[in-house]
Amino acid sequence: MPLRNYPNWGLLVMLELFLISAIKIAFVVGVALGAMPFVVLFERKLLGWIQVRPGPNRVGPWGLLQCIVDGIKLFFKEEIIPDQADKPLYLLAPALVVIPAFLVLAIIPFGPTVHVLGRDINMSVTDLNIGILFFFAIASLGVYGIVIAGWSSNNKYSLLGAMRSSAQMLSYEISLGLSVVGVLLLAGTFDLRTIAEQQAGGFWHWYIFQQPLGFVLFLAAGFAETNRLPFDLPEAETELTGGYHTEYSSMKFAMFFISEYINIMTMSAIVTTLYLGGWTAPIEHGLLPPWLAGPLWFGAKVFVLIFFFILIRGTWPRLRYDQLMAFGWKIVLPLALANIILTACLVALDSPWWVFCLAGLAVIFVIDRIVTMLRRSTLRAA
Amino acid sequence: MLQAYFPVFLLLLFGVGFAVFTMLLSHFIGKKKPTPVKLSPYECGIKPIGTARIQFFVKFYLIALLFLLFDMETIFILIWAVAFHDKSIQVFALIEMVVFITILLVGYAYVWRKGALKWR
Amino acid sequence: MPVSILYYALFVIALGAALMVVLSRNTVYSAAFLILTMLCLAGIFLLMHQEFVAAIQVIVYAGAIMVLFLFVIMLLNLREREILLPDFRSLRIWVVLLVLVFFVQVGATCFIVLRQMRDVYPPELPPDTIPLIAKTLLTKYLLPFELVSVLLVIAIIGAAMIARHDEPAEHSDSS
Repeated sequence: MPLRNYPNWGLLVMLELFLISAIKIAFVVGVALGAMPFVVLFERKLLGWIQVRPGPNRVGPWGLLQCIVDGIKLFFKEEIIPDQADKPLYLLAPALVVIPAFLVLAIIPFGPTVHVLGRDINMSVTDLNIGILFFFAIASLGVYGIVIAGWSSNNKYSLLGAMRSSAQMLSYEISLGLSVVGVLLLAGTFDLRTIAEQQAGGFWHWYIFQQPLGFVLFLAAGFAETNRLPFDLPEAETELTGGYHTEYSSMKFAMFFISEYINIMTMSAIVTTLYLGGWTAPIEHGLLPPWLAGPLWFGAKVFVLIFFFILIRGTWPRLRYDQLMAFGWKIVLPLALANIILTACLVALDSPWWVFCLAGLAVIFVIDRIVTMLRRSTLRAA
Repeated sequence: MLQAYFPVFLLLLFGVGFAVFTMLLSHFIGKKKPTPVKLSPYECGIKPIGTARIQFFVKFYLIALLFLLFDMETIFILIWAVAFHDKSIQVFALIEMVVFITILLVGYAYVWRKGALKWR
Repeated sequence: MPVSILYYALFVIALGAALMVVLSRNTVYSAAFLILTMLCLAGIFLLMHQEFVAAIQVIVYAGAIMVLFLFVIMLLNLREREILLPDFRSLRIWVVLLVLVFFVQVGATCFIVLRQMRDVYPPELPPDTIPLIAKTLLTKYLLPFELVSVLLVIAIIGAAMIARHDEPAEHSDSS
């Protein structure tokens, strides 16, 4: 056969690789799936408090068992496959949504390199040279599950929700890609571990201070990409009943639900890694060993971002669809391009970090003024 | 290098297994009492008229097309960004990117003027 | 040799999916199989150590171009009977000829490729290939790089022209 020179890894090497990866995957997936019910519960509690009601409080102390019970309930729910649905695609769609959600978990670095049993083990499932590109690649595949779910259900609400959702995800994917360029200019690599390591040594090294504009844009695009309020048009209950998963029941619905929350967690984790220093401590301290302090700091930062996600959901009104598209194409996209040129100029000039910070904040301020002025004038005209 | 992708492959297998397992499990332990009404498309109680697979709005096609074009542009900018640290080509690369983005802004401005970015 | 097994498995899946693209009666299924083909090609690139090319393959082909295809298919929403197929019986001789040409071409390609591919499993690349690709793109291939933006602008303008079909509706809206 022609392809003779394939690398032939030894059996022991393979076994070791397999064991280490399996343990890491078990840990990361376990944390993600284990934290999910509590994130859901926390969200419902927080929304309850914002709306001056107690939230779930019947099952277990403080309603702690509510989401676990909900999950068990979903297993026993009746499985409905609409008779007009396209069955193979209808069954495929939940898998197409949940698999990319799991895959992105692979590249998140949640801790430093530790030395165990004579080996250097990176605290992340894997570290890829193409790190952030892998994230974009998998994110771009997430659209299919939604489109196929909507199309195969043969339901008008589902199809409308799916088309809206996919058009929205496509529009904001560009903004997501362009707003991250500022960080890449500073870091000079796609590798997420290296990006996080470059921000070590104190919170003033975090890229959020050199990239305030990029951070705001990335966060906005991230909200839209995960279909969260104020960008949750695809499942706007009042107009589309349930959006693209209207026809799904039982565990197939649960899979859409799980992947939505895993996507929120991974998005928070990516933002943490890119802008908030990843697992590095805000102030150097020697109190805890690095293998413990790293994941703890990382978890704390991710938690703060998830808290912010929920806070926005509780307090902001939903955008109209044309406003949503206009925001993506006419505000976020040009600002991301401006951020690229601005950052490149400042990098070329070897500016200190506070120049980056001031320039970014100045742009945010000016844009805010302009947008407010335009809105006032259109309101007056109307 | 391929060893770095082995965990990704494992995770892919896990994801497939997870999806198949949960769907099969709920298929076997959930009750099933299908009725014609239950299996009809859900439209809040109203009888559905016609099929849902109507011909769609041209606007979505335009968004997909614009996405494709800007996505290509994004990839070029992403590649450029990681090479920017190289001092020997920095100024050159900056000028190059300014030209690249300016040319694209022409197209962007045209699309904006034509109202293709407006959702209606 | 697990890598080699994967390599051949990807080849087989890619070819099978490509065949299904042609054989499916439903256009949405064809698109879905084409996505699978694209992903398998990305996997093959990856096994050849071209991780950057693999990422681009997924982002551009599997992630962007196929979304466009899927949207177009849903936009037109052709039912099976609406797809106009030529009457093959009157074209029998041409069909035979084309099939022959196809097999000759495939055979020739396989012959050439297999002869050149002797022992060509690509070696491991240095870890910092990506900046190298970028630098080459920005220096050696400067002109194509800038021409790409011109090409993209032309395509964007073309896209905007398509949207102009909607314009009469806008006038009635704004008035």
